[in-house]
Amino acid sequence: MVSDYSSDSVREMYERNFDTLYRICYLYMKNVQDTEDAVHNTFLKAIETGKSFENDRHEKAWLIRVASNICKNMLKSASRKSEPLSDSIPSSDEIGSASEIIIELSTLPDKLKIPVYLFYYDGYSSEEIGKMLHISSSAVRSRLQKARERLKEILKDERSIV
Amino acid sequence: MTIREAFDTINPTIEQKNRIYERLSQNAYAQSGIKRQMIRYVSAAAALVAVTGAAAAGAVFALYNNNGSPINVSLEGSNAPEISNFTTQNTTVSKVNNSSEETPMTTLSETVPPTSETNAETTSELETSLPPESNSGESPLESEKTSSAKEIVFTSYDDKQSIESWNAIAAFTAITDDAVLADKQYSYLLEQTFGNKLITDESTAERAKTLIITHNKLSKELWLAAYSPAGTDPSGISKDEKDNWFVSSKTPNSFGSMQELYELEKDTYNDISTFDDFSDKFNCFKFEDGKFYMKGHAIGHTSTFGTAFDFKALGNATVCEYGAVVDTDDGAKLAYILENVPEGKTHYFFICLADLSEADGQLKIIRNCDWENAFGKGNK
Repeated sequence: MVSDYSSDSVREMYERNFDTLYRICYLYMKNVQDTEDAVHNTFLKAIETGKSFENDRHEKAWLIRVASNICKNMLKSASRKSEPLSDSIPSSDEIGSASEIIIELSTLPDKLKIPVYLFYYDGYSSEEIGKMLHISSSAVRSRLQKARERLKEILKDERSIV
Repeated sequence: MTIREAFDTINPTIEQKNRIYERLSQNAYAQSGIKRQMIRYVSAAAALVAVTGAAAAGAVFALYNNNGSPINVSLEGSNAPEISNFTTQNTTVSKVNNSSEETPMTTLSETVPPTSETNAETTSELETSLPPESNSGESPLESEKTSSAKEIVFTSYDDKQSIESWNAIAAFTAITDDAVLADKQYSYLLEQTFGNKLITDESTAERAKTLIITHNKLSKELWLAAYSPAGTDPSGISKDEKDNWFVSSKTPNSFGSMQELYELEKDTYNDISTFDDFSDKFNCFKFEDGKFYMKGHAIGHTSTFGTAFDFKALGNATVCEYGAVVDTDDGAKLAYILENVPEGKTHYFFICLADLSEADGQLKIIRNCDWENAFGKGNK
């Protein structure tokens, strides 16, 4: 149970999920300041609700969903216009390629972003992602396939989905 | 470069990490002591609309929680994030002691004049056919004062934004497409829910009214589809019958037949096999003459796996199980459930429309639901 903001459990939850949430929020917000706000609000929500989780995966799934919603609402409520991905991504050739990928990822529909992250970065299977997002594994695979089609040119070397 | 390597370049610094955590600690502490609470009676998500089976043209309805008591709503601090907790269990939110005196719960029929004699009759029937919990000699108001009335609790990220959603939720329980009546409903709901204080801009108010009319129209269509206007017998609806539901990202007007719906969904779910199987399981959709009907008594988005879904279970939101309310394919949450359960002569329409998520047995109502898209603009 995470009910005390100063408790070790909060710190542990924070450590476990910070990087993931930061990256996901960044895909939505596209700049460091708003990303920080979104990450902050996500953890704050977890603290406020005093949620308990069945396991780390459940915890991560919940936080990702909250983060996603927070980002979307931030974008809506402030009528913010998407800003170019600029800060935090260096500009070497190699990183330039990374930047292109991130930009492409950020333009994916919301329903595709998170499965892509969970599959390609966190290494979850489509079955595991389905459980986390409460959709069927076939739906996950379908979304990943759509994402691959969208990212066809830059994902030549990626592993197969299935 | 792989996606993983690309993600690795989004690399927050230790300073960022520490800064956010420090801010988190400060805000969590600050918010712990400044929660603002207001409780109003409200017809809100998960309201039960009691409609008598004898109602023919139009229907008079009342709004109760699952025990037939008014529903309380608490708005908490305006700095809280955007997600609402929705539960029918008692919560930790304390009540404003005199709120019931300030805003007594009434049925809409007390505020909105009946449109016909039939409606007047149904009002009477309604009052005598409330669920057992509220039929113990107490008025709904009295019942609320003394019982452990269930509460809806939600934290407000932006009061104004939330009002729009909540009014839309509440309004959807009406069954009329009459603009004048909708206007009265709106005024009623506004007063009952928020004391007429919180909607300050004209555009929001106008949008809320529009939503009322739009959704009222859909409600009426559904109601008429379920019961012939002249009919009084809700034939084919068994009290104990369970429905098969499934999650569809498709708005009602995106398909024109069961076959089309099947084609759209067959690759989405493992348990959808043949069309016959699909048709047997989910026989609740009907599209004729350009209108979308509920066939039988179920329509909506719900259980991921198309498993039997019990209204009673959802009626008690504490057992609205994990997975019963899920993401739709477009990233939104549950958009719409309409269900009715006949209890004697009374039919309880459970209408739950919200952008919902779940966690630990609670429904969570997420703000800023795109109502128009969620409902296909009334499916006209």
